[in-house]
Amino acid sequence: MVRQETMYLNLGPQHPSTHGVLRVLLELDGEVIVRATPDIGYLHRGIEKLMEQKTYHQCLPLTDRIDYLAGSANNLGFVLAVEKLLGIEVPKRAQYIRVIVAEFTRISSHLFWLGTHAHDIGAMTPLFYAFREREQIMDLFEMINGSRLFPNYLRIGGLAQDLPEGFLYKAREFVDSFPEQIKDYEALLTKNRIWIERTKGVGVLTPEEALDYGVSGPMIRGSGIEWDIRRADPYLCYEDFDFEIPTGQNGDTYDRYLVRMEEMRQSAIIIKQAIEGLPDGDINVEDPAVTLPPKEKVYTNIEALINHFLLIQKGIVVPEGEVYVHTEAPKGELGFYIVSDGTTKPYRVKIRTPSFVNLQSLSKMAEGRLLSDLIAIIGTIDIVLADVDR
Amino acid sequence: MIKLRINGKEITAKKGMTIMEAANANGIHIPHLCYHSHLTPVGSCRLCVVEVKPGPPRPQPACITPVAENIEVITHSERLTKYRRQLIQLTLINHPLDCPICDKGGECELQNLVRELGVDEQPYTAKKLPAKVDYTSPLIERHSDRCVNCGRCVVVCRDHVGARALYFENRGYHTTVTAGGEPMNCEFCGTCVYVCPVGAIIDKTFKYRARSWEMEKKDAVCPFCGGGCHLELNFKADKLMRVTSDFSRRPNNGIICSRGRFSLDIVNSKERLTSPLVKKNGKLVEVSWNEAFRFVAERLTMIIQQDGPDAIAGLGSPRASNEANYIFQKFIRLAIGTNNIDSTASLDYQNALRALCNVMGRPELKDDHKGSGEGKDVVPRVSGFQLALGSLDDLTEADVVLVVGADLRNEMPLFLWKINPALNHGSLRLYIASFRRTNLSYLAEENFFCHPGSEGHFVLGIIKAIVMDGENNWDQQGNSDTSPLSKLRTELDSISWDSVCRETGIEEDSFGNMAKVLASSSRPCLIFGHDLMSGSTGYEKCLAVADLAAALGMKLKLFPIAEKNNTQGCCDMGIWPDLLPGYIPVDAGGKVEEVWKKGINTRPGLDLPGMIKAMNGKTEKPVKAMYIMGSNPLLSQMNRKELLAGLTRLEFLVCQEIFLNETARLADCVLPASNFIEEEGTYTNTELRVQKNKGYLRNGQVLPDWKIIQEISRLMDYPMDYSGPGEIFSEIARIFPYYGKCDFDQIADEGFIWSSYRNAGMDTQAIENVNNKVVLPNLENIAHHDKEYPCYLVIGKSLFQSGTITRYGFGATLLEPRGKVYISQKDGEKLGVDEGERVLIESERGSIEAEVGFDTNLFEGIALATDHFPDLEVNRLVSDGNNILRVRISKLQ
Repeated sequence: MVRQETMYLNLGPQHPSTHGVLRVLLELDGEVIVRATPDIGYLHRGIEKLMEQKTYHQCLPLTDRIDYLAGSANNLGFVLAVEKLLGIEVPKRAQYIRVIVAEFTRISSHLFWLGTHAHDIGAMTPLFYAFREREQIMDLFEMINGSRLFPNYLRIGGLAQDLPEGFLYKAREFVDSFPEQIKDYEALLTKNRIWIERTKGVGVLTPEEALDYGVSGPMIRGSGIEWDIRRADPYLCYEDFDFEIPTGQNGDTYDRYLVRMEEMRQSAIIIKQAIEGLPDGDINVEDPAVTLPPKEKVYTNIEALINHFLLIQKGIVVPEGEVYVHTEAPKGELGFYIVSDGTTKPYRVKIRTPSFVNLQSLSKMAEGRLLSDLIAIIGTIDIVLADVDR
Repeated sequence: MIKLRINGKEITAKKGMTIMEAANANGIHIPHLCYHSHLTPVGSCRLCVVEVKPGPPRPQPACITPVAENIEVITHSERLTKYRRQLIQLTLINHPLDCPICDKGGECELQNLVRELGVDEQPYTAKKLPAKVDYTSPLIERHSDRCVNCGRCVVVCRDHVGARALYFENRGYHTTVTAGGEPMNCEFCGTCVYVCPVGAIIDKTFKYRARSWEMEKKDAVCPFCGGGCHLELNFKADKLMRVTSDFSRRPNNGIICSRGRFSLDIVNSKERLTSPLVKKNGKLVEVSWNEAFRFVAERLTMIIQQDGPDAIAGLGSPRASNEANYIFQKFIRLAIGTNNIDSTASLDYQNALRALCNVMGRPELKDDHKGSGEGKDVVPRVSGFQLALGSLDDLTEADVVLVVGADLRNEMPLFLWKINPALNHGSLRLYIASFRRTNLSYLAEENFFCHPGSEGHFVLGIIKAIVMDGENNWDQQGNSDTSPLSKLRTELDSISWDSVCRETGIEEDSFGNMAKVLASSSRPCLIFGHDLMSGSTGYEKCLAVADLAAALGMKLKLFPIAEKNNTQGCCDMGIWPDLLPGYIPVDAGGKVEEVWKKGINTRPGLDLPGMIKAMNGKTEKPVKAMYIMGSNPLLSQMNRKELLAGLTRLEFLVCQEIFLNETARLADCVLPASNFIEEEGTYTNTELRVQKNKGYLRNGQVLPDWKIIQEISRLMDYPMDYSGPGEIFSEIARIFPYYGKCDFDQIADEGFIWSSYRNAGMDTQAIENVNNKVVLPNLENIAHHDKEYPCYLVIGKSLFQSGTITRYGFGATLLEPRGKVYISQKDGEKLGVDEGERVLIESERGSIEAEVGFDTNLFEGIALATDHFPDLEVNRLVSDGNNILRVRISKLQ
């Protein structure tokens, strides 16, 4: 007797190509995927709930760990949301520096995606190149705040400190040489026969489907929809910069590859403009109830000491209200919904992470494809499981 | 009502209110520093300035400007913020950089103002003043450099606490708060610490131990005196860090005394009993609960079988909760079957309640509206002595207060705090009758210094003056010739003024004046304390007080002072040899039997003196075993020698205790009970306020009182099956409906006053006329002269101690480490002793050695001692539980 039935197979949670602890429950008809159900939650740390016990500033290090490949991008989303609740706008110089940091984060995140995605499909060399440049960005982060992966450089009301001497020179050096490096990556992949075979037509998402699933970032742009929050709902001072929004045509893995490659170029362009136009001035808002006084004043001046004490021990008092602020994180729309009850700790925080929403389209893209395509599809979503589970 | 607008908002306020009060009542915030919602405003900081139109062009301080019709008030404007910022900057000009090490950091009003007003720079400079720090005072530390001169501590100490320990010195920039440049020697209530907006006055016991945001505040009722003050226990991880109190909470409105503030560390005491102990080979050894339960049940059963239930006696606890006492007396009455039950409250407080009961009747409630089924229309008719007892509100509103036989400050500071504001304001006249001066004496309109023990004669003299004075409308009060009051009049005729004056040492005119004051006042109050209630003549003296209330037609509110936290509740719960819960006589307990479903022994049992006699085999039926719950009779006012002999002669003694005290050391079995914060329970304070304590902690193997008794009772074939104090409370309410005003779970934070049926919006008709059965007291004549024992020794109470449990507390031990006998300086000179030297005190019954202290409040020939200390066994001198003794004092060579 020959039985004809579909087969169930677990991919993950321990699997080198799932980019973390993702378990996909596969229903297979032979080698063809009938359904791919992602099972998430292995990396759930309860960040949103933890935040309810912490002052707004204590929440910041938690945000770094949401999408750990783009720490500063998460910082940015959170501080912008709190600043909106507080009704404050940081000085222009701080905004420009934030843009520089955010775009470096984007490049770094995309480089990581490029290296691992290509490696998953079988191309080993791009990983070495991509990580070489990512290392330079890590060094830059180390310069500004001492830490590489989680710089935690942003503060509610501004920045932890001004840029260190020599940073701008090194940053400039990087963005000047970076387009040349991208050419190297493209030489390895863009016209590579195997790469094309493995990515073209794989994991197609039509514009309608992309909208229905609510995907964002390179995912929706790959499907040909020009949607970028930096342009659609500008924050910081993105309207000051000229940059293009790359889009794809077929909504497949190859197009999303092209979109991300172009985004890296555009980010470098934005950084170059920001460095050139970087204004002088303060990096923090002038409000003793938000900004820490300079340390030397804390030791000599009682007013500064009291403000310092209250900011550290009690935290920033955020007026009652609720707010949703979204930013264009490297992986898509990162939104912070914060409810404040007028105390120094958030009453409720909900984080809309791009990876969580983008992952929902996995089954749609994988249906009818071969099992081996699934690895390419997981890679093209550019998920970070910490970002999915929070 | 006055209409005004604040920030454009139309509001109404009562006449006489300040703008600040009107704003607060309407949720409008005005920045302030010296203003405190429960203190008299001083208007010193000027931060609360507001614009008032029409009015002078300059801003007005909101805390001392009264509201006026149609004024327009602006609380926040650019000009006001500028002024406020400058004021804060000037305040901060000399402020030390102490926030990181200051106890107040995090709950500091100055810090909050700096943030609120956004102050971030100091444009002024001034000569730096040297920091004067008082590190030497006990318990309290003062930092003059942190002080903002708001004056709150000065006001609270002067107008509310009445200690007057702190005041301002110097002027202008050099103004500081001082205690006279010396270490503080005050009541150490610590209220100044908690009204201080900054960290200028701090609690030494709390210093550096925790920060304000680390602690969790939990409500509790104070376990010491009968005031039942509200406490906030500040816990950091199950460890008590400090005790605060909420200024908006009754009954004490934020003020607590040194006992509650600094001695509550007994809850974390290392000396706490944690496991059951049984005496084996003369030594108390730790055993399991099961073994202890079996041991107690078997021994008690054996004694019942051998000698009958009356060979066992029980001593209830004025410290334990109502539920524990209720279960205890139920256990003694039903499981054992005897009425031999009493408590140490019988030595004083019960005298007062018994006298009131006999004159005004026991609390009764007719047409109980819960049972009638006709809804709220049925108004219960109430009668009983509780109608004569006042609440603290009566005291606050009183126009005349007469204190008889009490050192108010030591015995019940809560009463003092209530009358102090009115006293300082001049709207209250205070009269004191006592054998000594007290701290209040200089505030009194008149002091009557009577002979020790003659307080009853003094009250009788006032009654006589009232009855005899035709102007007091005596005849218009509807007293026919046959009424009990007329009988009193006839009997009073037989007492001559000569004898009254001789006994008291007070002139006849004084009685007449006092009588006129009482008769003409509209809200008189009478506070009577330990000196009057205590001893073998206490009951008779209390009768005189009850008669006075009756003679004044019940407008006189009575305030007997309850010594311990649940003295009143313990009496309510039937810890009497002849009264069941709710003051029902044992021979009329039909209703109680119905609830208990078991017959009660109708013969009254032995009281405490009776028990001691019976333990010593001086009666026909000796007492062979005793069950003592939460009580230390060895340090009570009973003669120590007799009591010790009796307790040692007992075949079996069980003590249910929280500490291993003197009595418990004699026991054959010691059962560790949970204390007031470890188990839920209700406590009734001296104004009949029933308040609930919640259970927070659990130490060792301790069990709640009721549970221990329930387990033993089960083993003695009288199973009780209560699931918790809530169930016990509802049974209490069935017997004593006054407690049924609230379900256990619904008792509000402030509790309820059980007598307040009269306040429940009920018109006075519903109160049944109190059928005063006026009982004329039979007051003994006092032998004023005694050649052999020329001196009086009066046993009183200390401000820092409460019973014998405060000796495990830090504050009480520090302030008063050992007992002393206080005499006047003149007596000291006569005896040739100086302070700190030791004397021999002899009475008819025995002698003790003691250290001498001088007390300027005492007169010649009178010595004062307290019964809190194990090293001062004054009760060796006592006979018949009397607190006033005749002694001979001589210097020890």
